[in-house]
Amino acid sequence: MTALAPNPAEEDLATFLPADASPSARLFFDQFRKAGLPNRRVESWHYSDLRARLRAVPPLARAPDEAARAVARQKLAAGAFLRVVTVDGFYAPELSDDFSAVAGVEIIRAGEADFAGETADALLDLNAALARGGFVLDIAAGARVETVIEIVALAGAETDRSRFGRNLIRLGAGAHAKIVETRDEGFAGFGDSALFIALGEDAQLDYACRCRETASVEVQSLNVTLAARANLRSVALLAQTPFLRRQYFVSLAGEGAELQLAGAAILGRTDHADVTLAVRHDAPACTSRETFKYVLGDHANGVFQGKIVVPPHAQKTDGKMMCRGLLLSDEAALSAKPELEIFADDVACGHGAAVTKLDAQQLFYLETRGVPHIEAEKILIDAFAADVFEMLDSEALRDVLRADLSELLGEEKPA
Amino acid sequence: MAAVQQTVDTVKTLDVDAYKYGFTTEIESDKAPKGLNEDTVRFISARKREPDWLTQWRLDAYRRWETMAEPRWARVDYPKINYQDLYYYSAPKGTAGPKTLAEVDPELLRTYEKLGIPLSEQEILAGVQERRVAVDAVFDSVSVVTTFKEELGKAGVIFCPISEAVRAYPELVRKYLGSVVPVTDNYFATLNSAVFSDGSFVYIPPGVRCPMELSTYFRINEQNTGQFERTLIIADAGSYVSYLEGCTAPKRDENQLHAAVVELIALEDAEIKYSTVQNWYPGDSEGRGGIYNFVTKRGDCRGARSKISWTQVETGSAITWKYPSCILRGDHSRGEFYSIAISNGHQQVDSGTKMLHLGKNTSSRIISKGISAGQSQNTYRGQVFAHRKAQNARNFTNCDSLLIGDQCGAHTVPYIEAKNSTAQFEHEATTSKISDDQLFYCMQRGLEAEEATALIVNGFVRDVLQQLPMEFAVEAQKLIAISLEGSVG
Amino acid sequence: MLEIENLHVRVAGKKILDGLNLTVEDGQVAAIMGPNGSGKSTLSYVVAGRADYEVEQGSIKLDGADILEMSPAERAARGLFLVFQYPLEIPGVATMTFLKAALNAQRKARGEAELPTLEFMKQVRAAAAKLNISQDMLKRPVNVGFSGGEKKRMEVLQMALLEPRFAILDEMDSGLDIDALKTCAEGVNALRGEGRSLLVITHYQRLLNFIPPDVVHVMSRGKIVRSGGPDLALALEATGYADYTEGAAA
Repeated sequence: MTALAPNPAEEDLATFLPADASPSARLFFDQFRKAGLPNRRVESWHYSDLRARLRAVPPLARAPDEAARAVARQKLAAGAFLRVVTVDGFYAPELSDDFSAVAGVEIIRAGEADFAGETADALLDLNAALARGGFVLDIAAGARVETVIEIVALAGAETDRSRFGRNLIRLGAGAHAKIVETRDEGFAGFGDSALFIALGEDAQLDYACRCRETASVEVQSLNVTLAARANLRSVALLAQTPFLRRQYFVSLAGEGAELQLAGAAILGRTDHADVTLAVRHDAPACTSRETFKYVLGDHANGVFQGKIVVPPHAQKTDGKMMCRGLLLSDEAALSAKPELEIFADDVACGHGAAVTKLDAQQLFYLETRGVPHIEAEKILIDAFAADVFEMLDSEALRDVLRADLSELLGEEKPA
Repeated sequence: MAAVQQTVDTVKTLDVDAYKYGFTTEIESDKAPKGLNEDTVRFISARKREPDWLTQWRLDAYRRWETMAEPRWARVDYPKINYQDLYYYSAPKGTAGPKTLAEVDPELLRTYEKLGIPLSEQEILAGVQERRVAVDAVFDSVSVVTTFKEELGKAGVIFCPISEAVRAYPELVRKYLGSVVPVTDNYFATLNSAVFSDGSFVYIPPGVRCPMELSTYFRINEQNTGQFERTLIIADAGSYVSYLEGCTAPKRDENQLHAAVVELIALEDAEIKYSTVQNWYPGDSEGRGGIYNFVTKRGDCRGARSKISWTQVETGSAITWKYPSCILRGDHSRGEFYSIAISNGHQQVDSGTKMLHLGKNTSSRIISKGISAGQSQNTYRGQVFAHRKAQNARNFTNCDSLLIGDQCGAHTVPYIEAKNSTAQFEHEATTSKISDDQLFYCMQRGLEAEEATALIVNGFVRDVLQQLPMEFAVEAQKLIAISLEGSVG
Repeated sequence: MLEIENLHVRVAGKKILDGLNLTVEDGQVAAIMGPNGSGKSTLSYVVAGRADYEVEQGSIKLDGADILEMSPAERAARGLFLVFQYPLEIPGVATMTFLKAALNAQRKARGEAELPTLEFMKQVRAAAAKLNISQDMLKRPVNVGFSGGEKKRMEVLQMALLEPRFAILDEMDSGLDIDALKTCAEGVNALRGEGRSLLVITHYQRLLNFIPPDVVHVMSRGKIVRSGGPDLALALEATGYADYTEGAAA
């Protein structure tokens, strides 16, 4: 095998590491340098050749100044929820709502020590090395937060920047919360963000993520840990993603933890969206359900890689994964790789994948009832995708996603 | 029904270390010097009295191979193979050319008798043996005998060792050899292209339905000897052939290398059914010895409406690395893959298939049943691909794994790639164990734990067993029970 | 025929049977009635030999022999048969294959010759006809895709074929409509007689209208709390189990 030609982007990234970087930041950066930008020969990045895609990186985003805050303020129209705002990956308390009246919620600026040490991926290493100024959102043990918390991630005045957000959502034992994350990177720059979610015993979190107008090249890593009997329901809606890799590293670390992970990608143009899951059942008797749906029009390219790992001691594991694709154009493509890696015998695991087109009979049926063809398509696509929202407990979160979806389908039919 | 009882009986009567084909044959052999270089390649080519083009073809492959690296993506783990410490050619003395049965060394005949392979046409015709199957028997690097050649010849069917075909039908061999698995395909296929020894050649003329099952029986005997067979089957327009392949090897403490290439070509409206019962020596209970089985098998549905069906029962080998595939090139062509892969002891299996949909209205079906026991690792790896122009490609995949005991692993790695809006792919996979409730139910009806397990496992693999020719299915069922022996606590 | 003495059983640490005594005479049809959670199904599983049941004390004897150390298959060969409340599905194994494997395993364990295939087929067909079981059902995999009624009829067919000495019917009426219940009960009644005892476990008296018992035992909190004639079942139907559950708590 011949050695890879050097990639100028890697050299650019090296200049981002500040002179006063901490030893651990240096360690993470060295790990990244050693691995380099992942390419198609790296099995888990086979369908998203980041090395080929990212030939140069824009300048590093600085902590937001007044100009950046002004741009962000404009984008922050009145919202229904209490908001935590980041600009270019930096927590912006002056743009965020006041949480002092909400019992059990605390938001502080994050430090290096807030995040779990080891990583499993080069881009997560890079993020660990370069990210500064994120937040920790703490929900106290036993707190039942009824109000929906919205995390808003915005780009600043200069959109063509490299951003490294790194935030943590932490729920104490028995805490309940509902969080929606709204991301808008303005179609430019390079993003390598990380969100850590740690649920204590018996904690419950409803989490929805709306990703639109992601950066030109964007990698989002989610690092999720569930303690015993904790329950996470997570749904992501992905659209307008020039090149997005969204990767989940989940550990069901405590006995009886439950995970429901879902997503819908509505892609057109030359959008590329890659969802990669590594769900580890690290404790016995955990349950996980993963359901991802792709609607692919135009030249869009959808990728789903899901892996359920069950180590020897994780008996009584119940894991089921499903990926469904709807191809609306002959130029669109879907690659799915749902994997099972099982070392325990008393398990019930399964996965499924299906690629289909719109059902002609259903379309015809709707048309005979007077619905125009285009409308009928939209109705069927909407039904296909919106199905994954149902796993959320919170009606408010489901409504947000439903509204987004109909807006997406109304504005521009993906085909 | 009777088969189940037989399975159960077999389980009872056999020892724990049950590989029953582990004997060696004492016979003098003619070997190439140890190691691999251009001289080895020339030696093999000369021994087989090959034409110059083939010698050059081999040498090109060898030079290419030298620049390649051994693939490491499969989920198998084994010490580095020293390719210079192997023999690449070994032939029992006195088998320089193909022979009639009467001329074959009686020691060899006894070997095949012990293996239960019918070589005597007279006996078969006289009804002593009930099945009528033409056999090509390959012993280490050479074919020792091929039966029923004359009768097949009347139908126009060519069935002979590939070394003979090179001389007798050069135009056919030259046209098709390497046309499905190119010389440069992968590390092991390229190695095979350089040093391939023997294997079968089959040609079915247009419109002919081959009058009997064809079968090749592979036997590795010699120590430190790799087996590199090469099989080429061409089904001309509108023809049909069913081909069976069986393999065994003696018990030896060191690992033996087997790197085969099988190429199938189905022209318009032709159908090839290829069945394998792979029972190479799997190594002992400590994981010592056993065959490293690195095999490239690929079928090309070259003509419209052609069909290729792979059925495999994999119980042997220490390492299995094998993905019988179909290139669905012709419009309306169809590919099928039915597999039972059983691993026990320290065996490692990484096997599956590729279905490459290129033509219009092509369809494929994959049924895979993996059973892991002992401390083995069993991986299904399969790719389903629809090209942009493959209008209306259809695939259905069902892939189930069963775990017996808590020391083993079962893994499923499918790659599903659709580049066409009219493609319809469906994939489903499950992993489970035999439920305690099922076992208890069977035991309440009077079956002991091991019998109950064998019964449930036979049910689990039934969809695939049904694809095998009758006699093979019975044999396979027995083999499954034997392979799982000692796995029930 | 069956003697259970002072049986104490735990399941996952929890005491389920608490000093149960029960004797079923040769040829007798005994009913056990009791509220949910009284330990009825546990009793049937323990007698049949299911793993994961911790027998702390006591003995179970079938025809005088202690069966507690025997495997389920050995017990079956001695003539013990359990009609499962929820019969298991075994995908891929044809019902005929299963029946033959079971019958011959039992015959072999008893030192009897295997039944010739023709004779076996004849017996299955005859029994199947009585129970309204089609040839098609016999070809299908064991219990796979069967309705609740079909599964129960298949249980009775197995019972007819295996000719047990002692059969336990665990909530045979659950999931059955009245017609299916009649068919199954007729099948069972045809097997009543000398040399064969039945233990009918049920929550409702209804089943006993179709399979009239010789004696009725009431079970509560892991033991038999009352025994009597068939009229005891009718009395229970009128008053419910409240007396027993409360009485036991007192």
